[in-house]
Formats: sequence, structure tokens, C-alpha cells
Amino acid sequence: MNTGSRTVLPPIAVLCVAGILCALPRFVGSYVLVWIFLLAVYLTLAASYDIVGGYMGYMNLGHSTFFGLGAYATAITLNMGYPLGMALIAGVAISAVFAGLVSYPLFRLRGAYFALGTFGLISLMEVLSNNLRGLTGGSGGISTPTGDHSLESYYLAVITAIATLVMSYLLARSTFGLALFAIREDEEVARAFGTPTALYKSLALVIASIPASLIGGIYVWNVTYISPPAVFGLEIALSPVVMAMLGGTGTLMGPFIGAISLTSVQEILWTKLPYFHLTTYGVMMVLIGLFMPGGLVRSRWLKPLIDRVGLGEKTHYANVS
Amino acid sequence: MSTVLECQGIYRFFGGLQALQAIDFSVEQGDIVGVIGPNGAGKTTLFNVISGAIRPSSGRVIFQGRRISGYGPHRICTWGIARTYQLVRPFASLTALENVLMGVCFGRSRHPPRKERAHLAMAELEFVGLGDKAHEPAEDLTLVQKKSLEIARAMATEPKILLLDEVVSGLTPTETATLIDKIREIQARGITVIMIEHVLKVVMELCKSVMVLHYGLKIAEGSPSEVVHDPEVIKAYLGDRQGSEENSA
Ligand SMILES: Nc1ncnc2c1ncn2[C@@H]1O[C@H](COP(=O)(O)OP(=O)(O)O)[C@@H](O)[C@H]1O
Ligand SMILES: [Mg+2]
Repeated sequence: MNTGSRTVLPPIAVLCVAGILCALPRFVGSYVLVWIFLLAVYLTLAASYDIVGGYMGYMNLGHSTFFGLGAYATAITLNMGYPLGMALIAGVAISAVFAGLVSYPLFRLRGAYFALGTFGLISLMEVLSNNLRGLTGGSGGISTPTGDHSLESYYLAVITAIATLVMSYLLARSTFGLALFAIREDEEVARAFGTPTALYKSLALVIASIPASLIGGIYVWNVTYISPPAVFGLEIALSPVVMAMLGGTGTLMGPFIGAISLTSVQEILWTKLPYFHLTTYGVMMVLIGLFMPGGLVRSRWLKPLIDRVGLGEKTHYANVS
Repeated sequence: MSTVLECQGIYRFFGGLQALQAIDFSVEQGDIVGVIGPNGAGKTTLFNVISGAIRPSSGRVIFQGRRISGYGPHRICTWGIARTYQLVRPFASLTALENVLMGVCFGRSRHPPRKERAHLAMAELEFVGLGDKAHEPAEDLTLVQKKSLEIARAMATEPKILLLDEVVSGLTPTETATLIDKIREIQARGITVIMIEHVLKVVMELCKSVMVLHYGLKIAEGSPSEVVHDPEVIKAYLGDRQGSEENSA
């Protein structure tokens, strides 16, 4: 019935949004641009978190490790005098290799143990970045070569966020994505039916680490200074999880809607009640768990709308082929 | 006729419990073979060992002349042994079609081209009579439909051997009759079927030979009519019944 709109609408929507966002700097002030930049950062983190946390059902509390690793590696490479492109690639490569290496021990754990194990990674990274002073500047943080890149980094961040959403859209409709959903539902059965689960879980983590580390690199290029708590702190660790849960895990639109709502709420609260944002996360998590376990995307008001434009849950593998 | 599957001296312990002891057993290509025995006899454990879900404590499983015990279940599945679960385990939130697609995409020795996959999966759904449920989430199906879905998912892997774990239990007589026909059709497709079954009537009707397990031991083997008149078997079943009556009393 609406197979036409299903295949045509998402690309058109993406192009429209991309067009608006690219034209925006001509019309709005830097305040809005900074807000959208941060939104793009959070959205990229939330959407990439959801590949492992939502699609595959492994709650990765340590997803921000990749963000921080990307940021630090990019900063260090920039300081060595390499151009931005090289620095970003270095950040992504190091982070992806790291993801591949830690995936082996981590994925021997399940459920709460996996979540805790990944959470431990952040502390490990914080300790390392605090103590490898020669490389990271220790607790004093690290600065990159100065210069105002706010407009360029705005574009880069927006493109990365959109690319991450497109990737997660395509992933959900791929054979690989089908296997991730099956692993979430019953890993043992997925394996019994031929899925190389160990390999696929590692791959999923590596894929998820790429946008996160890339946006980390773009972030440090923009702000020109980071410290261990800024990238390995609790706030950046919890935000993708809370955003994906608020919007609805395992769906394309979930992280998107979650990121927009949470950054908006914070924008309002931020000016009135400083230091309130971490509390917001705690309160949000409890409220979502109590009243909206499926997230906003599966709520009564949003679900019909999202299904209608072909971005709902029931548009996975089978409906494309 | 050639031997397609052979179990040689299979033992499996769970802690102190001997779930399988010295099981020797072979299956001829194209047959329907039954495995019966009281609850807790070790039947499902035997399927787990054959499909690679668990390793035998000792002993070997030979499939088409090659040892398969010790390999992972995903390898064994692509080599041609597929199964259903006694307590159904469909991928709950995936649609019926996506469930079967898992078998088509991953369970075969050769991956069919992407364009054909949905078509192949649909054919298996239609074979078990779930064609109109293709886009329903598996969790919304009835128990009987979930059992059929499990058969479709297993068939989608193009198995040479199909392991059916109590697929008939809990079905009405009409549903049972339909399923018996399906199993005959599966045999006609050249697939060897090993079925665990409590409903003796079905075993009598379908199986060429039957193995009886009791406390992990093979206590009898032969044609269905031989086996049900075997004094050991009668004792095992009656003993079990008396036991459960005592328990419930
Ligand atoms: N994974 C396991 N861990 C521990 N004990 C098990 C496990 N699987 C089966 N058993 C035990 O092995 C025995 C045989 O079980 P099972 O093979 O399921 O019997 P059946 O299918 O014949 O009813 C039972 O006593 C059961 O409790
Ligand atoms: Mg059993």
C-alpha cells in the first residue's frame, strides 16, 4: 500500500533536513548553532549507542569511551602537526581497533555484567588519561591548536549525525541487522540457526565505535580543549543511554527524538538551575522505566505517525526485499 | 540405504547427574526415527548434543561420515542439521517472515542471493500454513502457530536432518493429523527426521524405528510395535506413572 512512500519519503526527508541545517548559519545566531552542534554530538552518540544497546540488546554503558578516545587521539594527532582529516582518521582507527580488542572479553559477559564491564572501561580510560601525562596532559587536559572552527565543525557534526542516522537506517534493513535483532531476542537460538554470533557482536561494537569516535574528534576540534572528566565523565556516559531509552531503543527515530527532547529540556533547565542536568538523567531514567518503558517512539501519540512515514519498527528486513 | 547420523558412546553429565550414558545409535538416510522415554530421560539433552548446543562429556557424533561433535551449533546447522525447541523459542519481536529469513540467510551452506530470500522464506511459511501471518510479530502467534513457525524456520535452513522436539504435544487431534501429513511431506523431500514424541499414536504411525531412553540409558530399540511390547519399556513407563501418582498424592 504505502511501499512507495516508504522508500521515497525517508531520503527526501533526510535531504530536506540536511538542506535546512546547511543553510541555517546564514539566518541564525551563534547561540542556535552551538545548540545544534551539541545536539548533533549527542544524537550521533545516541544513535551509535543504539546499534549495540538497542538493535543487539547489549546495554553498553561505556559507549562514551569511544567518544573520549576519538577526542584524545584527534587532539594528540592535531598537536603533532597533522591536518584535521588525518587526525580524525587516527581517532577513528584507534578507537575501532580498541573496540575490536575489548569486544572479545566483554562479550563473554551478558546482561548486567556486560553493562558493568563496559562501565568499567570509562574509569580505565579516565585513569589512563589522567596519568599518561606526556601524551594526554594529565588532569590538566589537552588543548588543540587554537582557531575558530565553529562553522566548519558545525557542518562536520551535522553531516556526521545525519550519516549515522542513515547508517543505522540501512543497518536495520540489512541481513547483518536482522542477525543483531535475532541476537537480542535469543542469542542461543540465533547461533543455532547459523549466525556467527561472536563475530557479529564484535563487528557491531566496532561499527558503533566509528561515529562515536569521529564525533569526539570533531568535538575537540570545535572546543579546542578537553579534560578527562569532560569526555570520560558521567554526563557524557549516560546521555546516549538516557536519550535512546527516552526516545525508544532499537528504533531509528528513538535516539533522534530522545536527543532532541533531552537537549531541549536541558537547555531550559540549564539557564534556570545549573548543575541540575545530571539529576535530570536520573529522574528521566526512573520516569521512563515507570511510565514509558518502550520510549516516546512507542507511545500512543507518536507511534502511528512514525509508522506512517515508514520509519517505524515494522519496516525491517522483510519489507525491503 | 546409508547411515546419515551415528552417535558413538555418548555420555553427558550435569554435575553428578548422568543425563546420557553410553548412547550408541544410528539413523538411516530418509527415515523417520522416534526417540521416546519418560520426562527427564535425556531426550532433549541428546538433541542438544547432536545439534552442538552442548558438548558430550565423551563420545562422538558422526554426520555423513564426519565427526561433528566439538563444533559450534552454527557450523552444524549450516552443514545440515536443524532443530525445533520443546519449549518454543521464536525470535519474539521479529515477524514470522523474519524468523524464517534467519534460517534462509544464515542456516544454509550456501547463502541464496538477497532477492530470492524473502521468496524462499515465504515458501516455507506457506508450507506450514502460516502464509497469512508473515508480517505478524512471532509473539502474537498462538502456541500451535509458534510450533509451525519453528518447523518453517528449521526447514528454511535446507536441512538433511530435522530434529523435532515434541512438536505434537498439546495439539488437538485435527492439528495432529495435519502435522503428521506435514512430517510425511518433509520425509518426501528427502529429509531424515528424528522426533522426540510423547504421543505414542504419532510415533506408531510415523516412525520406522524407535529408541527408548530411561534415566539417560538406552533401554530398547526397534520397530514401534516391538518397542511398546518390550517388558523393560512397559516397566519404565508404568514405573514413571506410579512415581508421578505418588508425587501428586
Ligand atoms: N543444562 C542443564 N543443566 C543441568 N541439568 C540439565 C540440563 N539439561 C538437562 N538437565 C537434566 O538432565 C536430565 C534430562 O533432561 P532432558 O534431556 O531435558 O529430558 P527429556 O527431554 O527426556 O525430558 C533432567 O534431569 C534435567 O534436569
Ligand atoms: Mg525434553
